[in-house]
Amino acid sequence: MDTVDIRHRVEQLQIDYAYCIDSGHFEDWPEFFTDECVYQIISRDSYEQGHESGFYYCRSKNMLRDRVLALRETTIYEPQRYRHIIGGTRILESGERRCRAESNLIVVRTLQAGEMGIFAAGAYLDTITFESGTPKFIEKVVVTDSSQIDMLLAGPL
Amino acid sequence: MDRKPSAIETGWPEEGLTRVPYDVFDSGEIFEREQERLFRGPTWNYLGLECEIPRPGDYKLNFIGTTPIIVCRNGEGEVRAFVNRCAHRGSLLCFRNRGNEKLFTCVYHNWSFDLDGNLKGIAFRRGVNGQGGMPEDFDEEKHGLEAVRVTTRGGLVFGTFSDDTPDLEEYLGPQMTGFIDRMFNRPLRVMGHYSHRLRNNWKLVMENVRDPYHASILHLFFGSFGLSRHTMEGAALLDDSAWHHIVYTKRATDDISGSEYEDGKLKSMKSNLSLADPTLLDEWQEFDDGITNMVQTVFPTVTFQQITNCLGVRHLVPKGPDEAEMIWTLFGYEDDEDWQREIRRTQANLVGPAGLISLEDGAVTNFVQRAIRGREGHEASVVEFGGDAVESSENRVTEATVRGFWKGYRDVMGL
Repeated sequence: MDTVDIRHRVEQLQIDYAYCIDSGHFEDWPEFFTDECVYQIISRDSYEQGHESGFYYCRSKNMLRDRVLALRETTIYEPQRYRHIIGGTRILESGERRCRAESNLIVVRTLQAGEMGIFAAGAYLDTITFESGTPKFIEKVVVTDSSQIDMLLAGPL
Repeated sequence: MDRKPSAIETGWPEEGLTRVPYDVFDSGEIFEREQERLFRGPTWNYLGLECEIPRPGDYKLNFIGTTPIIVCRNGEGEVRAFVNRCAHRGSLLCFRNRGNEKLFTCVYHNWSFDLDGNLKGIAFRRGVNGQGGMPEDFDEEKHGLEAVRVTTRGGLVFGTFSDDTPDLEEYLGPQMTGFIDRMFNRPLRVMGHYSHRLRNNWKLVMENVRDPYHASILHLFFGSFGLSRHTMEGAALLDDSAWHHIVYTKRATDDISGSEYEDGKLKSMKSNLSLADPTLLDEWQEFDDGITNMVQTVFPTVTFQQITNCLGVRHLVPKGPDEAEMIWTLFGYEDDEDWQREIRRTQANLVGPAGLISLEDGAVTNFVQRAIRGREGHEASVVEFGGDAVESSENRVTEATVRGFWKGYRDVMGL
């Protein structure tokens, strides 16, 4: 794969990933990851200090599925919608089998009464594998620029 | 239209602690009185962990009520705290959340203060070429930073503005002190730090954390996965003053037969659920007493929690009558092994603004704030579960711990 091809595949993966969350198809969200994977949401301040604990920490696809189970069955919150804007992807390292990429993200959250605002801004630090044909995340660390969450963080970013 | 008098003018409902006038959750007048009587009054307020400021000169910022505070370690290694306000013209002295300084120097006019809060330098003190400057008789000793009285225990730092606040151990009583010693028993290591903006009055949060009634009902994850149910052995404890509380659960003692949990009789229970990756709930017995969940508050605004092996401090900072910030510090111990750290890290999924067992709290306290608007007259909430007792019980089917908060509140606020 040449660099243009890699960039295209990474960007397409991000677009599909954002569509999955923004359309509320949470059941499909774990399928963007390999069985052994890491998904974390952590503040930039904690990330830079080397803290282990953030808002979300899943270390298998099944843990992602359990998050979805909880969102559907046990978690209570008002209807809301995310809109991800992902861009500025930089390919940091790439090979035939995998690459590392960093992208900017902004998530606008809209609550049912119509109130909307920037809910999160930050970066995706991604490790992506191409081995199974469809690119998948081996690791996705969502580093949020703010350490503060407004009211609650339900769905994934 | 006549203004409705607030609870400050009309007094507390005659039923006493089983009623809480909604005025206390949105009145600006009451919010101001809290700053003066409660946060500047005879209360110990959480300021941080000693391990956050290990070396001389280390500092971190925090708040007591709305007042900005610097907590630091002086040259002798003692913890000190001051109001974060330059004694000259009132600017914030420190504006980075943490750091290390030999002197705190105000950026506005370069007045500088040592780690004990003494004024040590004034820019152009003697003027320029014999002109201007401060008067000869200006007494630096009278213009230090406003000091906060500090105490520490088990690596926790508390501060108070009042000389009338008794020693921490007396303030807490022996049982509450014992529980602090249980969890804060050796050097700590911070594992995470974040904050949670809540769109509601701070006291709705303190009611919530002291309320064992809602835990297994609102937080379906708790009950559905058997983490905490009323059928487990536990207790709801208050100290003699009732200001502080502890609710704990021993999970190994669960027997749901014949209870509302069995066969899904409780509407919110979903006992048919199972985790695809049960290692989410991997754990080890951290304490010999068999307690698996423990929430302890020190009046007015701090909570210490043990959710199995997820240990943390939740410090609530009031921001206005209808806004508050909960600052979370998750920790383990310096001597944790890697596998223990990984378990704590995984269990952190349960807590915080994205927590599987706590996410709903940010929603429900806001629901109260929204629903009390437009009320008629002096409506009040009903806090009568378990009767009107304000004492410890060997069960958690009670709101006595919530009433204890209001007892402390009324004691201090004169309401």
